Parts: sequence; C-alpha cells; structure tokens
Amino acid sequence: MKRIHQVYILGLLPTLLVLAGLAVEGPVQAVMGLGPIATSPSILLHDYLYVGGLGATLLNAGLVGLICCALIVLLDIDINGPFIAAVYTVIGFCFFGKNLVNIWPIFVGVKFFANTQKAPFKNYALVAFFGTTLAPLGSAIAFNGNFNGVWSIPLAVLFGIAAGFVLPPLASHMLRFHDGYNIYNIGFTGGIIGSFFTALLRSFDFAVTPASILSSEYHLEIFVSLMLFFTMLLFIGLLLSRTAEQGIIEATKQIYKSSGRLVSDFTIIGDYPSTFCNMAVMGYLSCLFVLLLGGTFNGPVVGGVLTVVGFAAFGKHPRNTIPVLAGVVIASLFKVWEIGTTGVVIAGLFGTTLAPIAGQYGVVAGMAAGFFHLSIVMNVGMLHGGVNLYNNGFAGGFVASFLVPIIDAFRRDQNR
Amino acid sequence: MKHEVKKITKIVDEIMTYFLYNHEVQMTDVHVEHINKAFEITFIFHDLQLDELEIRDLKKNLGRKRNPELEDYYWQLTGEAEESNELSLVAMMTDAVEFLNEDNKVRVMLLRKLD
Repeated sequence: MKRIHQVYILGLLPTLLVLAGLAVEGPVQAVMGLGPIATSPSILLHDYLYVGGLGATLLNAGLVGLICCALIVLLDIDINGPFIAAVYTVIGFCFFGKNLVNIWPIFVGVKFFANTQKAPFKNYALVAFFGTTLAPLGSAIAFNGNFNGVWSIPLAVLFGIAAGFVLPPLASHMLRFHDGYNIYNIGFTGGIIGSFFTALLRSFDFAVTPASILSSEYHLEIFVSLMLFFTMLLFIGLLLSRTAEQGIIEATKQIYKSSGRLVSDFTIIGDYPSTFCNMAVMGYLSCLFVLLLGGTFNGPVVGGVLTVVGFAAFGKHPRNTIPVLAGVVIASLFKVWEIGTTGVVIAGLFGTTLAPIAGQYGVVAGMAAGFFHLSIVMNVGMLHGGVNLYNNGFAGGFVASFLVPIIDAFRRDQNR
Repeated sequence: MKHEVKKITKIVDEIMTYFLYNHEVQMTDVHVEHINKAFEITFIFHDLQLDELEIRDLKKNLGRKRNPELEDYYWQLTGEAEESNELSLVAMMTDAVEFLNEDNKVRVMLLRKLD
C-alpha cells in the first residue's frame, strides 16, 4: 500500500473531526470552546463535551490528531499498527484530558531525552504520543486552583517536561513487569510516574483528587457518527482488499490467530485492508458493548471506543477481547459498581488492554483477567490522583503481572 | 546505540527459544562475530527439516525491515516469552537475514549494523 494512501486514511478521522467541529455549532462557538478546554485541570474524569461543548471538543480532537499526523509525515515515520494505535488513542483522549496546550511539555520532555541519547526524536515518537497520558499533570498544576499567580504556569510546564523526559527509559523497562501482556504499557508507566509526582505534590499540601464531570447531552449524535465512521473504515478496507496480495479472509485469519501480545502489528501479521476491517469490526463491537450495558456515549466512552479501534491495528481482535469484556460484565453483576455507569463501561472498553491474556491462555483466563481488572482499576486511580489518563493501563499492568505467572505455572506441565 | 551487547544476547535468546520450543532440536551451533561495525550471528540447527508453510512464515517474520522507531522502545521484550514467539522483534533489530534449509540443517544468519 502506498504511503500517501496510508497518510490519507490515517488523517481521515482527524480531518472529519475538524470539519464536524466547525460545522456542528459554528466556527466561532467551536473556537471559543477551546479556551475552557485548554484551561481545564483535565484530570480524570473531565469530559470536554461538558467543559467546552460538542463543537470545541471535536475541533480539539481533530486538531491534535492532525498534529500527530503531521509529525509522522515530517519525521518520515512508518505508518504501522503501533502508530495507528497511538494516533487513535491520542484522538480518543482528546475527548477527556488531552488538548492543544497540555500535550506539548510531554513532547518537549521526550525530545530532550532523545537529545541526551544523541538519537533522533522519531525513535521516541511513539513514546511521546502515548506519553501524553500524563498531559493532565501540567494542567492540574496550572489550573487546579492550588497555585495562583505567575509561578503556576512555569511550574506546570516544568513538571510536564520532567514527566516526558523520564518516560522513554521507564516505558521500555516496564515492559518486563508484565511481559507485554498489558497492551497499554505506557499507561502502566504513566501510573508509576504519575503516582511519584502526585505524592511529591501532595507532600507540599497540593491537592490532586480525581473528578467526575460528565456529559450525557450528545449520546445519539455521537453513536450515529461513530457507526458511520466505522462503516467508512470497513468500506475502505474491503475496497483496498480487492488489489491486496492475499485475500481478506486469509489475512483476517492471520490476525485472529495472533495472541495480541506486544508487539503484534496487524498491518504486518495480516495486511492494511484486513487491519482496517478489523478496526471497523472492533468499533461496532465496542458500541454494541456500550449499548448492551446501557451506557451513555460521553467523552470518556468515546475515548474508550476510539482507543479500542486504534488498538485493533496493534493487538486487539474479537477473539481476544470478548472474553475480557465478558469478565468485566460478570464482575459488575456481583460487585458494588452499577452496570451501565461510565466507570464500568470504560473499565470494560479499556480493560481490553488485557486481551493478550485471552489470546494466549484462552477464554477462561481472559474472563478472569476482566473480572479482576474491574476491582483493580477502581482502586489504583487514587495513587496518581487522575493525572495519568490511561488508568486502565496502570491497573492492567498489575493484573497481568499477577495473573500471567500463576496461569503459566499451572500450564507448564502441559507444555514444553 | 546503547545496550548493544544485551540486544545481541536477546536476539540469540529469541531465535533459540523459537527453534528449541517448536522442534526437537538435538544439536545447535551459534556463532556471534563482531566485525566492521556490525554483529553477524549465525545459527545452525542440525537434523531439522521445516515444512514449506513454516519456512514461508519464518521468511515473512524475519524478513521485515529494521525499525528503529520501535526498537528503542520494545527491544527489552525480545526473548521474554516462552510460547508466543516474537520473531518480528528480531526483525526490527536486524538489517539483513539469510535463511537456508538444506541437507537436513536449518541455517539462519542475521546481521545487525552498529551506528
């Protein structure tokens, strides 16, 4: 597949978001709404649909997505599964935590680290994109009301840069904690870094506490838009498959055979057309999951859906995600959290970070992972106070590192 | 590039894990040579004949081009899993691969250039 076509397809979602953002409430309203979004503390869960409105949120997500695409093009980075996942994840979290202002200190921090290693920034661009999980660290310092006056902004930038600077070596090291069974590895890394910085801030009487500001206003509009976009992706995939080297069925079989453990790049394991089809199917599946649970399409839920779709190019397919989703649903029936609440819905969607456990060890192991994940994710957020947006990646790291050695020990006799 | 020696040992680990885990390999020769700003790693697995499908998959997985954008982040995963082989990680860390399966031997040669 030609690079130019890859660029067009990757840029399709952010371009549509920008156009929709400008059209839905008018350009003036959309641009005006970017202000409250940029000055929001942005820690979990600040729904930008509530903070800035629909037009501004779509515009914010689209523009940040285009910035990522522009960096990929300018740095001449291969558009493969990991980078598709990164761009969709960044766009998804632009509905609740990442914005045009707070992503930059992280990028600058990663760039500084690359300079110290005498390596080009492109070698760490993936970490920089995913590393914007810690974008709210700066926003919380600047806009949480703890600090007033001239020092809050420089301090916020300093903390953001520091977080970005330490991300690359820690992200690589943390992979060994869960052996690649937690796909959102930088979520785990971000949780460790976020907890470290939050503890530091709290020791100076700086309050960092999670929030819950959610919108329920745009449920139908968002659901219909998402379904249309996934149908578009499916159509693109099927169209491209007509000229592909291998048939769509054969390529999809290769994807479904994969455990999903890091590093499972579906653009290579299958091909680009089958990857786009898998992304569409995972989009449908995610929306169905939200509806079956009685959830509302708000900022965090859209973020969850788009992240799943992105990672359908890099580890997730129906065979390894459905058991985890089922595990979360079963857990919510027995535990104290109500099914259908945003917390449970996003725990399910993002809980598919543990899909490789189901892919490698089977349905029961995947369901157990989902079952435990709900409890862990509801308890680890307090450690970092919500400054790490990939809280489920943080929780997933603990679940995977706890479960995998145990499952492995009991399977060892059956294998070589 | 940092951690060069560790990366070489992890590449050896991954290839060895793949062949020892998936085949009844009785004898293996491993040769690692540091020449002209590059590491050349050669494996010879004796008394081993692979089927066409496996040869095709191996060539596909090991034949991918080197990818520094992913190498610096993911290299530590190489050789870590027992069951799910990660030959693609080896491919993203190497510049060239040669693969031969003849005379009842499998010969894999990998080249990793140093910056």
